[in-house]
Amino acid sequence: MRALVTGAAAGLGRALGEAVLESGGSLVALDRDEAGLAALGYGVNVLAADLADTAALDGLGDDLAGRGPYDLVVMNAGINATGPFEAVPIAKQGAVIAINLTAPMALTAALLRRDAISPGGALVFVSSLSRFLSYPGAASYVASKHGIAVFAKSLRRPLAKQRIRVLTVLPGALDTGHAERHAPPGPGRKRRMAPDAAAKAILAAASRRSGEFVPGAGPRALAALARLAPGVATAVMRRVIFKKLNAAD
Amino acid sequence: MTAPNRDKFSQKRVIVTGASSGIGLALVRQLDTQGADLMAIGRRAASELPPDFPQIGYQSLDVSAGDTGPQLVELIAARGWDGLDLIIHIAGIGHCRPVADEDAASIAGTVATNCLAPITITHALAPHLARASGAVVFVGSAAHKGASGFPVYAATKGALAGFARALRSEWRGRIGVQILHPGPTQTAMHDRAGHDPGRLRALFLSADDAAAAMLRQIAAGRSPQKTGHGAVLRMRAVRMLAGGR
Ligand SMILES: NC(=O)c1ccc[n+]([C@@H]2O[C@H](COP(=O)([O-])OP(=O)(O)OC[C@H]3O[C@@H](n4cnc5c(N)ncnc54)[C@H](OP(=O)(O)O)[C@@H]3O)[C@@H](O)[C@H]2O)c1
Repeated sequence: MRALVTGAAAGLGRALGEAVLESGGSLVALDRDEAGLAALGYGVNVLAADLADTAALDGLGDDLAGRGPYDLVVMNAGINATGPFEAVPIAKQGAVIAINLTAPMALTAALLRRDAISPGGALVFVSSLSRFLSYPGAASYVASKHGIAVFAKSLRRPLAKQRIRVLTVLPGALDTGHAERHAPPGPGRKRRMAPDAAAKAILAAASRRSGEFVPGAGPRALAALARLAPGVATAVMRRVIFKKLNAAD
Repeated sequence: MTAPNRDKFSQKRVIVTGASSGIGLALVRQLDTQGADLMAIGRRAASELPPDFPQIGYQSLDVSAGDTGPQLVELIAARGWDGLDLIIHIAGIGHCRPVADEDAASIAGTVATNCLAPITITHALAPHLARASGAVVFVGSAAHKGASGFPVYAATKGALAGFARALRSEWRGRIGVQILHPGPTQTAMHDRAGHDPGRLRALFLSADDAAAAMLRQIAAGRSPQKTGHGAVLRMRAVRMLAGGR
């Protein structure tokens, strides 16, 4: 199995890459963090690039297509910018949309144009549980994660005709640097899922099915509740995250 | 007595983007009749507007360029407005084509127009909206839940829906946030998108009906709202019961 993982130098992306290698697959790893890529070790095909550079995305997609074809593509790279909407500089919010939404759509277009995803393979987008819970205090982030999930849903039927599965992953809080940087201070750490456990669950789901997948029983229950009562979910997120972010500023 | 929301918009300072065509054009016509103080934004030059365009301030701005927020702040100051009661983000584009036929520039252009523009403009105008305890209205689409014919367009409208839900919570009690999801409407958009709805076109709402239903929904302030035939029929029923036409 040959896999492409974006944002592979740290966090969930790194765990996904390691899980691919452990299962005997070969890995193409993209990240903007060159040192992080170098640390992935011998045998990994690495590409350092900044997904915020929209003008370079076509070329980047062609480059990646040339390193394929892939049985698994995981659009995982993502950033966040938290705080009250009007207080977060708009350039940062633009970068969130560019990296989390524009880039995976453009890379997908380039890979499909060049038939770089093999029939029987899987295209995976990492969205976020905030698609269901909402996320006051990260409005542009939730926009990007909602948008990419809708993009994935729109591709499901057309790509099924090419025998490519499309899976959207909606992780809850993971125990990665992302949470360290953006979660409000507090004792939330032990409730976060370990990235390698999430990565294994994601690879297993991607090998079988299309659709939306929430790793972990706890987050899955939250997603179900939030879909039944979205208003309550938003109100709770406002209380446990937005108010604390405000207080921490 | 006509529409019960008549007084709702009278004298109100309202910005409408995408006012040069389709639903936005119908909206500014109706808001003008209802006495709103309007600033209309479109991409085309003023000389390209339909001859019966209402006598309201029109500015040609490309909202996808990214600097529309500061430009609007200047225009607001030039109008002498110290606050903003309402902004309706209608400017939008889409392409009906498989994703493999898109390239980075076309994808980035759709994201910039449909998603980044309303976000950055709202960011720049937040102080004006707060001063007036105003409201911001985003325009999604029935496609916001996914549409295999328009994957990029659907993604930008889904992104707006996620954005609006979070911002509505953040701004609760200060600034109103609403998203409306118009159903298929007879405008230039379908031809521009390269989409031929075929016989389904007969089922489309007229731009006037869609705009009238949207104004009712804006007056009511609930979110999210679908604008389809149900909304138009409800609006007509209420008008009849209220003794209007
Ligand atoms: N028609 C439908 O069936 C339907 C259904 C659901 C949602 N919607 C949404 O409703 C909104 C209005 O669509 P419509 O059907 O009325 O389409 P339309 O007739 O094509 O009007 C689109 C408007 O957006 C403006 N615009 C586009 N790009 C712009 C830019 N970069 N800068 C400034 N203005 C720009 C256009 O200006 P110019 O004409 O001057 O270029 C025009 O005024 C869109 O957001 C669309 O997604 C439409």
